[in-house]
Amino acid sequence: MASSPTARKTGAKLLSLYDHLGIWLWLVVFALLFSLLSDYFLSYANFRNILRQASIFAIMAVGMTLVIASGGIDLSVGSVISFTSAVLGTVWQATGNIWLAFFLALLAGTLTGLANGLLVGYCLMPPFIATFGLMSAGAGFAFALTPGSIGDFPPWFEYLGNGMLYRLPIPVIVMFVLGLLFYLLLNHRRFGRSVLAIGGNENGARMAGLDVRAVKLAVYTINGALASIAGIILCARIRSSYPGIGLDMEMDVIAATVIGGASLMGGEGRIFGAIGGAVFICMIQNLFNLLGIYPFMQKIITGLFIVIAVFINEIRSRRE
Amino acid sequence: MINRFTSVLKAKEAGIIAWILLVGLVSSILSPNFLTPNNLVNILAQSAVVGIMAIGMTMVIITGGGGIDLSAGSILGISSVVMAMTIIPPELFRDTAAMLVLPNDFWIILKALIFCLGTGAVCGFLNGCMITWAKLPPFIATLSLMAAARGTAAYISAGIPTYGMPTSLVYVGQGSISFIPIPVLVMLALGLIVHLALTRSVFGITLFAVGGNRETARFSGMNVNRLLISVYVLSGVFAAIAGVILSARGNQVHPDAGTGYELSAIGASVIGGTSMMGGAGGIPGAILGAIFMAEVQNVINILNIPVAYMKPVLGGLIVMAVLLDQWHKKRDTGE
Repeated sequence: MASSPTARKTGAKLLSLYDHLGIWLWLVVFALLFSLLSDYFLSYANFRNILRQASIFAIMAVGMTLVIASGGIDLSVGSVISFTSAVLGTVWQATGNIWLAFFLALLAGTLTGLANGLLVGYCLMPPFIATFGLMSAGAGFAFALTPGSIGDFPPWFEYLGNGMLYRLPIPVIVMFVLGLLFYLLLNHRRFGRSVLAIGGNENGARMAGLDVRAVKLAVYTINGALASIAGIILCARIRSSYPGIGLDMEMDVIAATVIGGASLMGGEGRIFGAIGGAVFICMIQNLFNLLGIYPFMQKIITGLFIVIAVFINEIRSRRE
Repeated sequence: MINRFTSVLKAKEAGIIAWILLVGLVSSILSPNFLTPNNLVNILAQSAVVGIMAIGMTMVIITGGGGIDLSAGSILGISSVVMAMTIIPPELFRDTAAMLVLPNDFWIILKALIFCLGTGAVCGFLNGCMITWAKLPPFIATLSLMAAARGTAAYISAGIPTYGMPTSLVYVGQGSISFIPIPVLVMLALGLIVHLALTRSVFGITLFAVGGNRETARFSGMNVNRLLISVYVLSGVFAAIAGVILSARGNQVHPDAGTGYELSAIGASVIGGTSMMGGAGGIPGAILGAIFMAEVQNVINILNIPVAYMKPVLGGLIVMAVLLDQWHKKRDTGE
């Protein structure tokens, strides 16, 4: 049965619209569905809450998008959050200088990323193993530095996580600014094209004269830096630092990135898709909390959503 | 004689054996408690759970194309919960106050074991279906099952751990035949069977062919999907067996049991020389890798190093082992 040409044209148009909107379209559809399920869901305050919660994951997902686009994976981001948080708390407690704590924490996370980059780029280790090593190291060192939680940060620092600017939470603004910055970097700069080229065909990229090692080093270092920014904002938001804070976060971040349309095979990545994916995951969890669903059930349903989202992406790319 | 010696040095597993001996040598100098028969047997027994999981994981990683089973730890959890719920009468299941004393009813235990392994097989089958029919990347498919299986385990058990298994089952975990602990025997027996299957059967040939080059294997008429599904089912079953051993050894079932074990199993496989690219690897290496990890944990305990350093040391050793292995291979191929 052949469909009429006009119908086919409309179909193609819809498909290309879907390609551009991707996860954001699903976000709107599910937001409408969810608002039928709970009276408290569709309100400005609740969405502000979801976005604020999602911003931490989204900032991490921006970096993860670069890593996955380059054909890699980074399991260490959750540990980077823990490590950053532990360094922040320890230095703040020891010196009382929040600026020093801020920069040392940023440095600690960035150096972890740098170590990942050296192992993957220059030592040619499989990213899964290299970042698994640093994931273990980061988590352990975080607890070695400080076993308990540390708080009492100065008010302006806590403002970073809880404050508002023109009715928008500051973490959300940071998320959008970083997202825009890295969107431009990935899609409109030579560096971004090199990342995508390496992810698409590493040998080809090398033959074409790209410095694969340096690009990978940069990608993992950027990812470490972004994760530590997310970690610092998270500490500011919950007004304390805790060495177990980032446990298992990497899985949610990778899920957000993949839901947003990145391919684990590399060569493809969407910054705003990843941000949408993070918002999507937090929105589902928010709804579950509003409905009072068991945390156990939340895990099951989140797993299901990931599979469905990736399956839809798969069908889409198969058509192409 | 010298020939035989050099052939041992050139074996695939030489690297990991050297690591085990090196760590053993250093630790026996640092602590008098390391090199005792009891402690060595203890290390072996500790390695069994991860070792059994690593057998399945190795097959999965050999299939290549990003083949990995992140759900193995959760499968361990859910299948042990299913086992406990089959053995223990429902009215007692949520009674956490008492250590249960259960009769050694052969049929009930058999039923529990069948349900337990069946759960593992069903989970593995789901992984296989997602990967072959829905064409999801293994990382994502098994990641979602990891969340879903763990959630289900907690849900059906209401998050409550159970203490006390029938004594005959506990014997499987804690007993030994002459001086070898039964878990170790189970690990070695399973390892031997799979090793033979990989090296001398059509299954093994197909597995390495698919791992080496999936397209070529498909064009040569091999049923790639059936192989992938059976490998993931096997990985699920091995995770369930590991669950039986872990529950029997600890005489308890916890819905959180096995959290993070998938990463230890992957670590053991990779330390043992299995390539993350697929197409290369072996069972002896994986078991030796598991023994190595148990050895390192044991040394950290004996030397009273703070537990916080356990993970960094293990992670660092895995990275170092893989780095040395790569350096070794590069020298061999003369690149």
